[in-house]
Amino acid sequence: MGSNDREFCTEYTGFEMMLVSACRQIKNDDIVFNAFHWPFLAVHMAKLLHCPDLFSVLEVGLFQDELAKPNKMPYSISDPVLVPNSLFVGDSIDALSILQRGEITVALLSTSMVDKYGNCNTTVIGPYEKPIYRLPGGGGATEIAGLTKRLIWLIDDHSKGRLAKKLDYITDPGYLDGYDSRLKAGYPPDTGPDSIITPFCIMRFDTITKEAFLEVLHPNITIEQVKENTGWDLKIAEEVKQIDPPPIKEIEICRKTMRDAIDQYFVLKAEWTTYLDKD
Amino acid sequence: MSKITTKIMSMKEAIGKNVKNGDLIFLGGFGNGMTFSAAHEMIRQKKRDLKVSKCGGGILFDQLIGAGVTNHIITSHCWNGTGPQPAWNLKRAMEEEIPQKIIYNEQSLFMINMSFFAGYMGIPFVPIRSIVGTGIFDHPKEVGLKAATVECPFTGEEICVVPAMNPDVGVIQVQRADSEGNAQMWGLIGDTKYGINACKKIIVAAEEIVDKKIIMESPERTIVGAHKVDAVVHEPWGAHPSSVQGFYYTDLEYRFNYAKETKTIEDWENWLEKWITGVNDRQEYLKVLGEEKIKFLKANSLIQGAVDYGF
Repeated sequence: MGSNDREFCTEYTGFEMMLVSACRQIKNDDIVFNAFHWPFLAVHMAKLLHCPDLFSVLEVGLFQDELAKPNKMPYSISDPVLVPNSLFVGDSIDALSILQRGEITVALLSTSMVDKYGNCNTTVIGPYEKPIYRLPGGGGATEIAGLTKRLIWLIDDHSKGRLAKKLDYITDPGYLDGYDSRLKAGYPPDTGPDSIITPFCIMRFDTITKEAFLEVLHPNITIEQVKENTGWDLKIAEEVKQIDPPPIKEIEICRKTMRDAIDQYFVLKAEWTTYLDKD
Repeated sequence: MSKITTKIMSMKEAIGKNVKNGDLIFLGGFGNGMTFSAAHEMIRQKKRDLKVSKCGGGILFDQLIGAGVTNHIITSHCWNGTGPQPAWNLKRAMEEEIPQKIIYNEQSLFMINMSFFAGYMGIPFVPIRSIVGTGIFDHPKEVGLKAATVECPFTGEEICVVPAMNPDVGVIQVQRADSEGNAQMWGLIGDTKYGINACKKIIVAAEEIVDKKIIMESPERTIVGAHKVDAVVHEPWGAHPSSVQGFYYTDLEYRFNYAKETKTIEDWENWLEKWITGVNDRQEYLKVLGEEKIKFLKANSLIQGAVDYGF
């Protein structure tokens, strides 16, 4: 172990903490559905940190267990650099069928808005046919949310608008109306949201009601801060854990990944990249 | 079609002969091999009321919307994947009905792939497990193709089914084809193989036109056979600004700038004039793109994977 494995980083952004918490949820023996945007970065970090053998499935129809060479961040799931470094290339149906057969153990998804049952909206704000704001649409996220064993939502801005009381549209199914409503809709019993990770915290879901509750606070964040910025009356675990600041090694990998992403034209907000040029 | 008639023609002829106003169109390519050249020709020929379908619409659909070619898109996602940044023409059309009101028939990625697959198989629908309880399942009828549930005759379980899609015309941009239209694609295919085979009429655009013997050397790379193909277009760089494996890489800078260059309606009109309506064909488009950029995007050759076909 290098000397910086146990040394904590004192200066980092909430976005970096979100990525660090996200990548820690992935295990080396997972079969991960690697989706575009922030999950792409978290999976890349996991691969470099603690998951050297991680097997990934990409929705374009590609399986891989090594990073693309040259060792850079692909710009998207359809980057041709991925192809000569993969184990399998087929059709999207190949990738989505792996999901439907129940073989994907974990997936992360970044999303626009989530509610307390882990349902998400990336479609519209306002009425469907005449929206106030049109959003991109779900892409493969609908299936990933419907069929992954452990689903992790990433929300890059912990605010009432993003962790919303009510969604105008459900693009991706969480626990629908809570309790057994997801099961009744026909989704496999061993699937569903596992957590919501934001710059502030990690929420998990009650095993009976399927409602999200605060379980882990990121360093220097208070319960009040989380509650005030969540759109519903958030339930709190009996014992909320507050985790340590991230080790320097994790932050270094995180920043390398973020720099690689910027090189590939990912747009990262200035407030997320405060420390990128200081290393 | 008579064997004597050649299928080789220009993109102008291929679109002119095969695409009618109001048609349902499939456009191939998932990031790789997107049919930009064909879409630009539809814009120049002022096609109207097209319904367009593909797994992810991206800036290709954004251009068809902005130019008033389509008023109905069928896809799972429509945004500028570089950034990612908004697809401004999509937003203007949905939020302000500029240049016209459009329908976005949003489907899930699996739903649209399986709709093409049912079309490919020649059956009316296929079951999937993923969309009950979402807005996608509950769309109003006016939005068009929608899912339903049926009772499985074998297990009695209620399962979601999605309808077949058989577009009137399909276009693909592939690495190579012969003059009859046997088309080969490798690398990232996404929905292209099932989508194109579900179509009633087919236009194949290829980076290279090769002898039939080349096709027969690795027949498993063929994604559509000549018997179904109506037109073959030799169209190098027809997928720019997307990539074609072995030929050229994605033009990230161009795609990134597209967002800021199309943010207002005036910006978009300038962009449209510069890249589409102000040029006659792909050759002229490439002159606007410039030799330096073409050189930069050209793929470094990586030939690998020879196998023994002996018997």
